[in-house]
Amino acid sequence: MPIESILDAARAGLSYERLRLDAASRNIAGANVPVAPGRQPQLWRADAGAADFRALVSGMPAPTLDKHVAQVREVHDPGHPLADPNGMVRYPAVDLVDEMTTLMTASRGYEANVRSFNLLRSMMLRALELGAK
Amino acid sequence: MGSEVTIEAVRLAMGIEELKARAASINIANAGKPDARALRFDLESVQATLLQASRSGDANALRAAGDALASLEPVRTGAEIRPDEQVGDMSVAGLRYQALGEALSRRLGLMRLAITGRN
Repeated sequence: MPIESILDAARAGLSYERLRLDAASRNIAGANVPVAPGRQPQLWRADAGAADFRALVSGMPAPTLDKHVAQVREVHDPGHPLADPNGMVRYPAVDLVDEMTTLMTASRGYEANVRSFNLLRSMMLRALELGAK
Repeated sequence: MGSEVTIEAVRLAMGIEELKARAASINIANAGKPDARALRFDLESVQATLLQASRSGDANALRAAGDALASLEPVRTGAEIRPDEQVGDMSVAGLRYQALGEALSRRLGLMRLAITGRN
């Protein structure tokens, strides 16, 4: 087992929380971007990856940032270039409360993982100093 | 041999604190994932071995318990992960680990002084 393996879970946690932040930021940024007629609205989501027991133990499932089909929010705006024949413009249905909550929890989670990483690193460095005095 | 028992006991105690910190780290990493549940290492029997073998001076039992730590697997508790609690647990485990490391370093320093006559 490599000496730095104790840091693997914290590193995986940092990656996952950063992807959650990315996903929420992109969704908020795209909330008022109209969807062209005939196309599907899409939102970003951080996927934690396959979570079997060994993966949970090692904290190593590689998270990914994926697009998935979202629900539609329609606004009546006949003058809009992307309006359909009924004068409705389609936007992705972004739940701003949900995305803002994700931003906050992911940010706190990232800070917790940074603290975890620093604590484990200091433990590892302390172990390397055994017998130095 | 008193020194050997002390060193093995401290080594085992450091291994226990490392596992506690590792479990907290895994729980913090998984805190944001849906339906994640807390993991913990079942260390009661190891801690009982540490206490009993330290009192009886059984260095071999301490060494065997320390070697067995590497094969321990965490168990699911079914409890929700509370990140603030996990960070607190990790901080405590880290402090104890560093304190034990300091104690072990000083012990080794005394041994070196006894052997060589100087630091």
